Amino acid sequence: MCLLGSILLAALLERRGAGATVREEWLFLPEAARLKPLLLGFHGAAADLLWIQIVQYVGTHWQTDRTFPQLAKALNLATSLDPHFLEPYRFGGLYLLYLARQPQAAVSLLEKGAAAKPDRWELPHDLGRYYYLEAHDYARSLEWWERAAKLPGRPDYLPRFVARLYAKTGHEETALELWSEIYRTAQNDHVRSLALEEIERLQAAHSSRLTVNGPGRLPKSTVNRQPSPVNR
Amino acid sequence: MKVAVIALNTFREAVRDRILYAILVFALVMLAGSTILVTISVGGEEKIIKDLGLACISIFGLLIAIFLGIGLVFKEIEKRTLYTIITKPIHRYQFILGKYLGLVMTLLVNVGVMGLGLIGLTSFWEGTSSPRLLLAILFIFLELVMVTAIAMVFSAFSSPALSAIFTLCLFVAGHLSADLRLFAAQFGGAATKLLAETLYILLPNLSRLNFKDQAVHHLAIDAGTAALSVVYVIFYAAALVLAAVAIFQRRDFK
Repeated sequence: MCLLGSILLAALLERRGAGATVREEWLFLPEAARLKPLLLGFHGAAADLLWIQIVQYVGTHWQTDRTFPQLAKALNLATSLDPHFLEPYRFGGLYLLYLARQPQAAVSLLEKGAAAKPDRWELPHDLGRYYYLEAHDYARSLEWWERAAKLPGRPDYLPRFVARLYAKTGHEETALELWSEIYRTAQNDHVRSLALEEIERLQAAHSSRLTVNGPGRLPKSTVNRQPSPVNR
Repeated sequence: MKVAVIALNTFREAVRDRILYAILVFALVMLAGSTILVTISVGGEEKIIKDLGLACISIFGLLIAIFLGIGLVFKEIEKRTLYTIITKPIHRYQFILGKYLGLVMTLLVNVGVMGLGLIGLTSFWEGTSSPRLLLAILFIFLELVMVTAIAMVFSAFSSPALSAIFTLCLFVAGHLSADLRLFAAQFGGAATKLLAETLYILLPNLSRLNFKDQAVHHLAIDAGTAALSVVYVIFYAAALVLAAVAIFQRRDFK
């Protein structure tokens, strides 16, 4: 009888809760410096549980009010508890940028991650992408992508992005050198043909400028010409 | 020889305890449960499994260490079995040492089972398991060796409830001692600094035995630091066992 009563009461409480609007979670998030010692060495597990909570927070708010007032603070806490935890930086950066529309907080988070994990290409890559796509600051994008391109495990397309950005920011000489390097080290025909096309495009652009402005600084490409795989 | 017999008996007695199995089964269920938790996360699955697995081993190992450690001497007195033992040609130090080693063996088996569970889980998830994970589990065991020694010291003169509270307090203090020193260096006066420094030296430095981050994030482990930490545990545990022996020698069981 008592069990039945408790089940009914639990169901009643559940129904009362369902009608309520999204309550404000995490009004009090402690500072990591104070919280970390109290976790007695379990800060990694605490960061994991907080990250899972953050994912739920984002999902709930995305389906309801689409505001994320505590997101940046919670992400900052999770990454301070475990500075090596990559996902809160990467996905958190995306959430802040595209869902919460807080670009400054996203950049701060990604920069914090890039400083904490200097051996990972993902964070400078994401910063480069932000500056390229969102801020249209190509010089800073180039700076971050160039850093990412030097790190182990980076995707193959990164050096190509860097080379294109050099051309886009007016550094055609460097762009040509980078494309030549890509052409030389390419593992497949597609990349090699792409590099060749870019080299020819840069040289053509330079030649057309030469006819208008006189001799420039663009050197001859160092590519040992082979028949383009496209034309083969 | 006598120490080995007592140790083996203590081990047999401990593994017959049903509560021990309940804790162990619960720990293994929690370990497996971490795989359910990762399904609601975005990324970081391997890290979460390792973190929660190591936390499980640590917490349930601590429960086992305290639960068994606090009753080590008290139970023998309560059941009056101690009176028959001390009439035999056994030194009291042999009794304490045997009891302690028996408990350490029990912990080794329990941490081993939980550790194998975690290694199996990570191997299944990642396809491979890092030796750093094994090292982190080994250091959890060493931490529990120290906690058991602490519990035994209290068990030699106090009731189980008080021993549990004191041991838990020392476990917390052992993890906070480095922060206490830092705090005193930043805010305290000369006397506070001296007190903090003394406590830092005297309290068990359990944060030195935490290699969870290195195991989870594949960070480098300094072999020298790890080796010195092992020696530290041996020395500290030996000092605690000697303290327990000294207390036990002075007790009057007439």
